[in-house]
Amino acid sequence: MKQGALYPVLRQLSANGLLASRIVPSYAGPPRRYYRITPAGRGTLAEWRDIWRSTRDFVDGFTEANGASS
Amino acid sequence: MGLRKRTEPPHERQNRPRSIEQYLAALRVALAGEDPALVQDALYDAEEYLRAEVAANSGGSEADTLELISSTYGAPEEVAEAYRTTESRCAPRLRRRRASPRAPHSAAFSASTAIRAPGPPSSTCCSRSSPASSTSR
Repeated sequence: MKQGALYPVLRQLSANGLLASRIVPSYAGPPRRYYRITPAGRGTLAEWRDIWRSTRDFVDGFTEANGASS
Repeated sequence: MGLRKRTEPPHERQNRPRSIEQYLAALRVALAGEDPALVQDALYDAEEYLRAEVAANSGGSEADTLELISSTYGAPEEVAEAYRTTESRCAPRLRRRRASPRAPHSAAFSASTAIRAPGPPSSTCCSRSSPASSTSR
């Protein structure tokens, strides 16, 4: 995974209102862009986290059940 | 940020950019035909990153620093492919989500809601590009 792959994702999240960014001048080089999560982003993150937990719990339950029966 | 050299095939060595301008030109070529807004954002992101890294690694030449940076940020072709892939994979899903906030991502994680038939969940949006690195540069 190269770091350059991160920026297209940030771009998409920003374009969809899940992240906001601001540009801050830097003394040591060019201006830097800082990202922060928006309220909509937090809501989406919570939603995705719930979905992921459900998926994980299902897979754990499935593998444990199959492991126990084999 | 620690930058380490990697071994590089001779053909890559010949073609690699020797300056930020060359890197950006190669990235522009690699993104030819894409949405102009995407190209502009990709060039802006790359230039910002490269200039910051060159400033932070000011001990060597720009060419040497770029060689190291390419191994972590990615060669222009790799970066272009990342933009292309993210655009085709994530943008439609995020757009669907924005149009209908509650439902669409259940489709991406279909195993969580339709678990009757076991199998791998469909690939998730941005799963290829979600490193846990900092979101600030």
